[in-house]
Amino acid sequence: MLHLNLKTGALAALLCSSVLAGPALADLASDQLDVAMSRETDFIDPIHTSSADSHLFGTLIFDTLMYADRETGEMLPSLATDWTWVDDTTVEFTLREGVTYQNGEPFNADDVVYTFGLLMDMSNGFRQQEQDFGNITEVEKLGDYSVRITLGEPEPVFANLLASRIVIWPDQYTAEHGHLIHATEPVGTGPYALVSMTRGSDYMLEANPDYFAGARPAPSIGNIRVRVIPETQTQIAEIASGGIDFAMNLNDSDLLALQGMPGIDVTYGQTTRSYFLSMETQQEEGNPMGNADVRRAISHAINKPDIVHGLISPEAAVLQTNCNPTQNYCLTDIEPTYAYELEKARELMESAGYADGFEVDLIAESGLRSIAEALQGELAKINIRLDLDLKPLPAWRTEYIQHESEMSIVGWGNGVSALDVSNSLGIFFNGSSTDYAYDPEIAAWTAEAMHTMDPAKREELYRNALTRINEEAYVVPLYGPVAAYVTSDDVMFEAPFIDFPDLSLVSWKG
Amino acid sequence: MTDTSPDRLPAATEPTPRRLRLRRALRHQGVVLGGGLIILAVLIALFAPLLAPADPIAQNLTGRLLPPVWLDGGSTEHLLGTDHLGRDYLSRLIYGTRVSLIVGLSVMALSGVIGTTLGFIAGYFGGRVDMVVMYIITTRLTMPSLLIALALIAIIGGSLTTMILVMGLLFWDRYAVVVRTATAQIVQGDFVSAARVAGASAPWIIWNEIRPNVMHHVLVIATLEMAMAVLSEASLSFLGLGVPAPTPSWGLMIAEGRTFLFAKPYLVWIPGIAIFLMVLAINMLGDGLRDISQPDGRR
Amino acid sequence: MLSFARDRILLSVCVLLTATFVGFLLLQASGDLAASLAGENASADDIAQLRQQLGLDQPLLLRYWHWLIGALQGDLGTSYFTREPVTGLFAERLGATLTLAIAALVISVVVSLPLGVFAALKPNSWVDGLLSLLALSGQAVPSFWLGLIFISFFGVTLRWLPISGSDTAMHFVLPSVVLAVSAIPALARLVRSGMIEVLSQDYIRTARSKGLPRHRVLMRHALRNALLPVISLTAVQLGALLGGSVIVEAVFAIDGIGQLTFRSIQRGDFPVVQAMLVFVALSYTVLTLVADLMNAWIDPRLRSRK
Repeated sequence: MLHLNLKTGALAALLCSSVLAGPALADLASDQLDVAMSRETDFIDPIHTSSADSHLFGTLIFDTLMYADRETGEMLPSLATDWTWVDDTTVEFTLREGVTYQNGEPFNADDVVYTFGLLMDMSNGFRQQEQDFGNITEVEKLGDYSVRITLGEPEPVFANLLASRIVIWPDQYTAEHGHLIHATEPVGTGPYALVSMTRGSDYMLEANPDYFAGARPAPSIGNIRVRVIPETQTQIAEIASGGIDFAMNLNDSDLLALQGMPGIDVTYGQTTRSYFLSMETQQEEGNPMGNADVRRAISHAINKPDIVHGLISPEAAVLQTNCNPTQNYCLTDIEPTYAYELEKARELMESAGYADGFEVDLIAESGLRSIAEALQGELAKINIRLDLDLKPLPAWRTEYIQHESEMSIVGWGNGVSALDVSNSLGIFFNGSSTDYAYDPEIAAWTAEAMHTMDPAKREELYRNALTRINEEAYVVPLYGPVAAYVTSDDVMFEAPFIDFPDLSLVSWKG
Repeated sequence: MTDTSPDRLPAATEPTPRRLRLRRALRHQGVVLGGGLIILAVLIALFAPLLAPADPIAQNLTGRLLPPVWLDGGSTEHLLGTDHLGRDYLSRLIYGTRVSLIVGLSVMALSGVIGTTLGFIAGYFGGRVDMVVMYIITTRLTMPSLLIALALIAIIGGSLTTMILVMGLLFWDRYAVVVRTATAQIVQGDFVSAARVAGASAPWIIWNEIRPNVMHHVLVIATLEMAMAVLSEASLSFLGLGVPAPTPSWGLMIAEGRTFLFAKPYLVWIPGIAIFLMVLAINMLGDGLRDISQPDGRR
Repeated sequence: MLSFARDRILLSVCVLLTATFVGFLLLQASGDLAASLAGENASADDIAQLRQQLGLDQPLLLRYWHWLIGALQGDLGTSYFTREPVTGLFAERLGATLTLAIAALVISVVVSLPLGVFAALKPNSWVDGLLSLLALSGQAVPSFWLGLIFISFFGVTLRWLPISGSDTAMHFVLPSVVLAVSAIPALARLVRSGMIEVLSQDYIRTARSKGLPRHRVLMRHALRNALLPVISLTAVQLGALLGGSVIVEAVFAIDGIGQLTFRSIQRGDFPVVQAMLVFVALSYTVLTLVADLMNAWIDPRLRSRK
């Protein structure tokens, strides 16, 4: 089966390259962008899973109905040339004509209807299917190039999904092979086609010569090869020696080594991700953090600017409210905020009856070790002794989801799917097992905001929620990271408005 | 595993074998050098609070990544500079000796007790008992120890105790194999049969007659296992599954310092050399002990 | 000889069964996978349903039985993470790891044989001293550290060799040398001690006194006999090399079964980890079995000994 995959992949490569014009073949070897990633991704299509990496591949291989302009964030026509909101829950799309899939299948309304059908069928078990697609109630074909989609309730952030996760699969190919075929042999309309891959480590993509070039231009680089290099020092060595042209996941400490190295460019961009310190706030015997004053003391005891600028990046955002300012409806003028005031923190601890402090377990993903250690050092100053339990990301997730965390560093969101503050507030303040605040009012506000179309009303609801979070100090907002794009200097790349890069926009300089 | 233990023969007029061995040990370069380094490490570990110029876990975020004294910008205040959280690197190195020694010695002892016990039982009783023990040993050998350790620690969560327990419960195979062979040979000796005839119990014979005669084998294996435990601690820490923060450990120092491998290589070299020296010393001691117990250099 | 072989094989099968069962038990302790697979915001019903789908609600023994039946038919289950058959994931990556392990084994044999032989010919000479020094140092260097240093020196400074990946044979040079460094000391010492022992045997003395040329005595008689324990150790070493390759593969970004297993451990992808345990146990068992049978065939005295 796998050998078959590889063979058909190779065959496809052979066919594609023979279709390509002669001259292109000649410098095929050099016309290749080598990209390094740090993590593997389980799926390379954004429907089966939703992660920064699946979006990276999804953007290249597939197209969405609308395209988020990477410079401005504006929604541009892509597979849909036009759309009208008939009412708050109904939208009609006019589809682009003359588009073909990479396997030659023509694109039309049937593909859209088919793909939405899969999204609505909850037995498919796509990641977070209920949360992301559960509100879609109906899809109707109005004509060969026209569809109508109906939502159960108004969903103000639906466009973000339409521009990221909801890529359109070809109906015949997908029906014939089953939707999991897109995990190994994806076929889309996008600017690059997957030629071959070793899942988890090596992906070879080739420019689609027939790309329709709607919202984005036709690809200019012949091949893109994405490799997973888990050890960041190895990535740096590869960049330094020219083996990699583009590294996606390096952070500021890594970049220290590349400072002043000739031939290397670093571009910083914004992200929608944010990190916060989560606390078990249930008021019960033996839980000091059930006391709001203790949580306020913790908030005052952490020197956020020093930690964030020192350990993350001087460019990273120090958060005072629990969201990243790049997110829509992330309000930064919320009162009260907690400045670094050690004396005040000690007083609060004393008046709460915890002058001698207490012990608490902090669980975090092992990648956050330095932040966790820094917090440990900071809280020791008000006699709170943190026992750090660092574990691999999945193990941490399990524990956090199962509501077994006393204290934890949580990082959440990326790219377009987190472009709206609902993405993070809706998951950590919604009464589910990942809600450690237990505030029914916040849960009600965020739930209402999720289905409110009126911008002023939404802002009011989120203002209520964010204010309450700060008043009660349910969490300590920490930082919004920056995205660093490290490229060799013959690569032309503009940092996107958020961490949702489109590698098809990369070109060679000169 | 052919073994001729010449020192077992009683020597009436000569100095006791033990004293002979000690005398030989003191003449052996490897033993003196390796043993000396280990004693030094033990002293450093014991007196860490007196030796360390600063608190190894005290952070100073404004004084991060200061270079060591021999580089530009270094100062005598932090002889080896500071790490990414502004902690004094020399102090962390000094306190790190503790973790390496504790892990090394505890794993050595735990696995030693398990392995030698199994070896004694198998070698002494032979027959079916031996078959069962061999079965256990073979089963253990078919399981990749590093992978199992990784999996277990990922499941349970890393702590000093977990790490020692997991490694101790995995690294006993070599003791068992060697002690079993040696015991089986000794059991055939006259003095063992004599003790049996005299009505001595099996534990008594094992403890008083057999144990003294296999100890030198056990010591050699013990050094190997200790070296392996020190290295494994470093590897586990490198993979993010080592001792929990803020306990300073050399493996952890390398793991944390490797973010700066190219920018500030000394952060990796300093703990790396410490591990290298420690393991080298343990191995030299082990080699020396083997030479002494087998004077003709045979194995 | 036949009954020896039969007993030996029977024992191996039992050991394999025990090892896989113990592995199965250990991995089952890894907590509730269904919860993490279901993801943030999943309801209790979703989790229960997923648990049922994955068969996690059945009793342990029954699950082991199902797994075993499948494994005997070459079906090692499906990865929880990528939903692909484990056998396929494995087959795809086995090549890289085997290349790495075998290359490391060849390098270590090629280096340790002459080193051990020379050291044995002149015990306590400078060659012997050099050997112990190399052996001691080789054992004392953590492989991840050596790997990173090799990368920065041979890959970045000198630019002699590719740094990461597994595209060409050249890509395997650095990682297999790093892996070999950890295997050389034990092998070289074994060759040395084996040679010293064989050289002192009567038949070698006889052969020498007969006036046979020195190198012929060495090659024909001594080395051949000294090699037997080396073959056994090689079998054991291969297992260690596979374990060591976890780290080397991570440093050099080689997507072999070591990396696959490590990632699977991290995300609790239990069927893949179990498959790795089976693979190592199986290869260890087969290799030692072959070595044992070979030794028994060559030296009949071993047959009576268990």
